[in-house]
Order: sequence, then C-alpha cells, then structure tokens
Amino acid sequence: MSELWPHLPAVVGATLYADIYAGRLREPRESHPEQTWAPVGGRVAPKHVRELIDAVSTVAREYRFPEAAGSDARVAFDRDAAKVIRAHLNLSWAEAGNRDLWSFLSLVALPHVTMWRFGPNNKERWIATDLTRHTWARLWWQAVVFAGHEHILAALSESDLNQLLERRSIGGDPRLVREMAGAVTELATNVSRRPVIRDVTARLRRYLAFLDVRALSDQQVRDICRALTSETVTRLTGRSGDSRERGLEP
Amino acid sequence: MNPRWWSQPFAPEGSAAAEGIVKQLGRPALDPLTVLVREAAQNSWDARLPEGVVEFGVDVRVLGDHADTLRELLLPGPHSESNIDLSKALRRDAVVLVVSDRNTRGLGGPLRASVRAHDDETPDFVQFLRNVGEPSDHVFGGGTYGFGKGIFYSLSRAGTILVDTHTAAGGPDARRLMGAALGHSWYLGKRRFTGRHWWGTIADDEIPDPILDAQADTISHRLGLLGFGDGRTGTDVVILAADLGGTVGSEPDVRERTAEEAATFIASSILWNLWPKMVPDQHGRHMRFVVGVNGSAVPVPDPQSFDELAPFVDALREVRAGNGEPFSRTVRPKHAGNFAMALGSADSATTRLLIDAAKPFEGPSHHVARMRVAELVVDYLAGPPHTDPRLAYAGVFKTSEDADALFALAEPPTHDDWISKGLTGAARGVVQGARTFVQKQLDERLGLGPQSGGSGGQGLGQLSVLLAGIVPARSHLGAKDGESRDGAIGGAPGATNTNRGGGGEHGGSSARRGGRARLHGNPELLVHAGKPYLVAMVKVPAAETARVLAADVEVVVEGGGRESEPPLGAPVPQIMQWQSAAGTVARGRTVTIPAGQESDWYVYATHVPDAVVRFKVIQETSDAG
Repeated sequence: MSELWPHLPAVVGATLYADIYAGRLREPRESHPEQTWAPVGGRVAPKHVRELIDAVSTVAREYRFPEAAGSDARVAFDRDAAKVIRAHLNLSWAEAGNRDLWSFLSLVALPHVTMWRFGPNNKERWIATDLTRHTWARLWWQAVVFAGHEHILAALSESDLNQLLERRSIGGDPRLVREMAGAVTELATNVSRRPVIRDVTARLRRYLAFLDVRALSDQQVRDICRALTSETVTRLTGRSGDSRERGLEP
Repeated sequence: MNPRWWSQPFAPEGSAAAEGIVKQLGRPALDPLTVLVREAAQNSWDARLPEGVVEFGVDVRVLGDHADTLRELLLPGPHSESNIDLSKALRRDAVVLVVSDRNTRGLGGPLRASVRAHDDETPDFVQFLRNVGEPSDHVFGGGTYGFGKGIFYSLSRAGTILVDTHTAAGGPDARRLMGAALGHSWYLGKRRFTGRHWWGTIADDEIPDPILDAQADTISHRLGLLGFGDGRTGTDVVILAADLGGTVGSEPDVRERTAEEAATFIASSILWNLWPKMVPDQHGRHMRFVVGVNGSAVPVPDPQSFDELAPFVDALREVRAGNGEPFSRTVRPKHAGNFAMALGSADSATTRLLIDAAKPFEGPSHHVARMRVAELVVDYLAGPPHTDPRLAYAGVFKTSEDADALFALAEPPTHDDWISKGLTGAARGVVQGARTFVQKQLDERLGLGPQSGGSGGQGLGQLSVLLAGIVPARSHLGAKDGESRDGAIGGAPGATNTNRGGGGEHGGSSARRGGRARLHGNPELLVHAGKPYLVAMVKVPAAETARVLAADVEVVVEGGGRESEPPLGAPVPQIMQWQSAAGTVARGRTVTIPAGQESDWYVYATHVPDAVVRFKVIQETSDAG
C-alpha cells in the first residue's frame, strides 16, 4: 500500500524558501503547522519522516556532508540517495506527481541536505515546479524509472539524465528511457555522450510521430534504440553509411 | 345439443368490456407473431408434465375447402354490432394459426369460474378462457398475470379463437372444446353486452360450457385438428383468420406475409426467443419445436448449430453449471443472478432466413440475453461492441430464485423488458443493479474498465487513434468533398500527417477566409521511374489576377510539432515541382498561377522514409498590379 506524505502549499513554500535564501536555514523537521494532506489514504507517521531524514543525512555524510563536496561526490550522492528516497517514500504515481509534496521534503524535512547539495540560489531545486529539476522529485522518479536497472542509472551523468528525461514523450515511458539509456551507455567510452543523446533523441522523435512504443515488445524497443544509436554514432564519427542499412526497414 | 355462440351481458354490478382485455397487452415493440410464440410457449412450459419432452408446434394453414366446414360449424356468429364478422373472416383464402402443445397437462380444473378448484388441480381452463388478470400460481413460471392471452385474440381478424384440450386429470370432462371471441361492447335494445362471446354448449342456466368428450372429438376432427386420439394430453389453440403481419421494409414494398414467410418468421422467433428451452437441463427437460405450413412440418433446428446462437448456448450452460459470475449484493436478496459470456465470430456470413427473419438486433452480437428462472428470453441487452471487430460476444444473465419475483415485478405484460421505473425498495435496487452489474461485467471482460495504478496501464485510445491513421478509411475518390485542414494523408508510413490542429495561418485554414488556394484530400505516395514521391493536391480558386503560391513540406515529430533540426545526415523532404492537371510543370517550391478559373494542381515532394510529413501551401504575392 502506498502512503501519503505531507504537502506544503506553494505560498508557504515560497515564504520558507525566501527565509532560506536570506540565510535562515531551519533544522530538519517531521512536520510543518501549515502542511496539508491528500484527502484519501493512510498518512505517513512522523516517525517515518524522521527515519527518512536520518537515512538521507547518513548517506550525505558518506559524501562529506556537512562539509562542501565536489561535483563528482554530489552526483555520486544522488545515485545512492535515489535508492533511499525511493525506499522510504512509498507513493502512488499520482501522489508522486504532486509538487507540494516535494516542496515539503526540501523545505521542511531535508533543508540541510538540499542546501548542501544545490545551495540556495536555484529556486526550482527547492520549490517543485518541474519534477525533473527538483532535488528530491527527480531522484525518486529516476529510481522508479530505472528500478531493477540501477547499473544504467549509475552509468549516466546528470546531463545525460536531463536530456533523456526532459522530453515527456521519452521520459514518460520508463521502458523507453531505460532502453535508450542502455543503448547509450553501451557505447565505447571515446564517444561523447551529449551529442549522441541529442541526435538520437531527434531520430526517435521522428519515429514517435507514427509509432507508439507501448505497442512494441521489450526486444523491439531495444532493437530500435540500438539501431538509432548506432546510426547516430556512425554519422557522428564521420563514417559514411547509407541510412537504408540501419536494419530498420521492415 | 348443438354448440352455438353466446354473448356476455354486462352484470348489473359491472363487468370488464372486451376492448380492455385486448388492450391489457399494451402495444409491444415486438412483432405480434413473436409475442404469440413467446406467450404460448411460456404457457406450455408452465403446464409441462413431470415426465417427457414438451412438444410445441405452430401450424400455418390456408383454409381452402376447409372454410366451408368452419362456416357450417361456427355460423351464425356473434351479433354484428360486436364487430366480429365471422362470415366475412372465414373465406377460402383466410389463414388459421394452430398453436399446439403436447405432454402438457392441458387446460384442466373446473369448467366454471365460480367453482373452486380441487387442491390437486389448477384452474387452467377458466384462467385461459373465462377470467382476466389472475395472478400466476406457477412457481417460477414465466407468466405473471394472465394478460398475455390477449395476443391470441388480437392476432385474429375476427377476434376469435377455438380451444381444444385434453387434460391430464382424466374423467368424462377431460376432453374440452370451446370457442371464444373478443369484440366491442354493444347494445341490443336496452341491454348492454361486454363484447365477450363463447361458443359451446349452452347449459340449462344459460351459461356456455365447453363441448365435452365424444362430441368434442367429433367436432375436433371436423375442424381438422390433430385431436387427442393417441391419448396424449395438451392443448390446441386455433386462431381464426389470422393476421400474419407485413413484411419488413419501407412502403410501398410492404405487403402481407405469405403463409410460408410467416412460418419462417415464427421459426426464427422461436430460435431467438426460446432457444434456452431447446437446451436440455440437467434433468434432460426441454421443449421440442415444430413449425408447419400447409401440411408440411419442419422441426426447428438446434440453436447450437447456428454460429449466431451457439455462444449464447455456451453462456447459458456456464450459468446453469454454476460457473457464472454471481450478481452479489450487500442487502437481501444477496445473490440476485448469474452472468456468463462466450465469444463468437463476427463475420459468420449466415444469410439463413431462419436466423435473419426475427433477429432482434443488427449486426454481430454484442448482446446479453436476460432471462428469469423460467429461462425464457426477456430481451437482448446491448453492450459495447467487441473491441476486435472480428469478434462477437454473447452473454446470459439469469436471475436467482431469490430475486426472481422482484424481476417479475419489473416486466410489462409482454415480459420483454425489465423496467425499474415505478418500482420501489429491493425490486428497484435489484433491477437497476442488475443492469449496472451486466455492463460492468462486459466492460471488464472486454478490457474497457477503468485502469488503476501506474505501471503499464495506459489506455489504448491514443494508440488506436495513431493506428487509425494507417487504416485507409477514406480513399482518394472519397475525399472529393472532404477538404482537410492540412495535407493529412492516411496511407503508407512516411507520408502520414496526424496533426489536424496545425496549420495556423497556412494551408487549409485559409480556405475559410475564402479565395485562397488550399490542400485538398490526402497526399498520396506515388512511384515514378522506380522512385517514390509524395503528391498533394491543391485546389486553386478562380481569381482575376495571377498569384504566386509556395508549397512547403516538413517533417512532423512526436506531438505534432515541426522538426526544427533534422538528425545528422537524415533526409529531409523537399518540394520538387508543381504540376497542373493540364500538365504544366513549374519546378521548385513556387508557382505562378495565371488569372482564370479554378484549377487543380499537384505538388510533388521527395519521399522520406520513416517519417511523417506535412504539406503547407501559402500565397506569397498577389499580382494585383
């Protein structure tokens, strides 16, 4: 059974963020007086909120929290924290799409780690507007999308992930994201991933205009992703190749 | 004493006029012959004997020479004021319908309505022939109130029937024969009559009684009825001068059914309405149906032998075996019925008249046969068509014994519907709930139910919309009148366009402002000299000045947007040329159209594999000067 986590209304979130931006960081807390709840479902106990705070703090300490940490350490923290967040937040997808829930996490339960991870300047890391950008929402969704395929997630950079998840037509389909990411991470290390993902995404978007990948089998999705990636790499590395030899023609 | 007609006077304290009895049936939506088959078979089933198979027959006969015998026996008829003209009705070309059953208990009980029946008998005779509106005393019987018999009279142009019966009770009055007629109420001098008449032996107290025993045998024989010489029990009902109804169709094609057509229609009605009775239950009980016309009798075939009915039979067997889905409620009756469903093929191209003649719905079955415990089909409730057009399905919903009486309350006199309006309490709840239950069962089994949860539960609506684009629903010819807002084509991949909302200031939408060139129909994929091209038709309206038109073609990406930058090395479509219907060619993306009449032009573009493209046409300049 999924459970409900508190929601922090946007106006309250904006006030809290203003405080943090002004340098008044609060202690992590299990609740906020103005929090709200989704109407139907079992509410999470304060004890469990505390457990999440402790667990995330523990992971952060492994990466030198509260000391300043390098970018590599913080990305590595993301990968580990994703598992923890996913394990502690047993949410329905509808609930996980609620922005106020994520604002509660960053502003009430985990302000200290949020501050350590991203600092105060970027508002959307604190107040959820885009779930692929918010500190904790993106980790939860990454964990869901890559559930059972954590090695792929671990192999992706932050920028790779952003490129893959920013388009809803691709990012909204966990299987497609996984296969796309899998195909890209299989590439030889001497290829820069950023232009590959950019070009492969463009190729895929042509297909998605007439192809609903939900109708395809796992193997078919895998084949398409590999064929498109291979075509992209061929073009990028300057090797000539006729597009008709991609093996995609029926 | 010779039988004769007797007319019922109004009793001083009041009586039922004959008109009311026929009207009690209401105006059923069903064909009168279907109503007859349903009502009569229901009566026969309720009167079945514990042993043996009920045989039910309908015989359609043209009177011919027999008319003379009938005239001799039945004339003079009732008073002409009563609107019963037997003399006119009993012509040589008149048709009689003989509805008969055997291995039933016949119409027994007292001969008079004012006498109490013995404990071990039911007053069938007086209920059928004398009384009106008596509650059914058959446990889980099909009938509710004895209104259904009105159909026998209303089918007769003379409102007249003859009843010949042999009851299981035995004794000297086991053989009974009587006639009855329903006309209009009328006056004779100062006396008023109800319009009900009986033909029989008039007893000393001036009340008509049936003809009995040997005399009944003799007259039955003269009437040409089957009789009961074989010792079996049952009933023959003769509908004199039957109205066979009209053929289906629109005027002026509608004409009266021939005897053969009526027989086919009756057999078809039996199949569609009484098929459950042809499927033996666990005790082997069932009915056997025979339909005859002018002396030749044909058994109605097993419903299992028809593709259209076999799934219904399968579903009924499931329900009977206790494998159906129970309709459970939280309040009593907690178990109100059972549902089962079976699949069949949608394209069984049966053109057999036996199925088509009285088929209660159009096209492949997506219906649920609803029935009470008596297993007589109440109606066919339509559900959603099967999502796979190659499949049909058939369901059965049968009420439970606990809820049977509640459903009976919801039935009109013809038992062909369950109407919750006007019901209260448990009856209303059960009847409404059953409909919802059946619809929900269908939705679940057809995968139409609401999906919950996140992983992989997306509906197929979007997919089917996308797929619809590759089904050639509209051919080029068919597109003549239908201009599309942009150059959409539902054809081969590589040339489709699903973005009907696009186009803004371009293309087709400009047609609404009038006078602009517009794309017409769907672009097509043409192969010329071994190479494929996309061709879109453009209608250029008449104008007094020359115009320069430009065509563009672009790749459409997911979501319907235009591709801003192609993938590395990927081909992009290009406009090659304009070509007029007359053959004038203009290379490149623009063309100058001279002033003049409306003209058709074709825009050629290169073909791009594995992509959706969209054509646009804009008017660049108008050489007004």
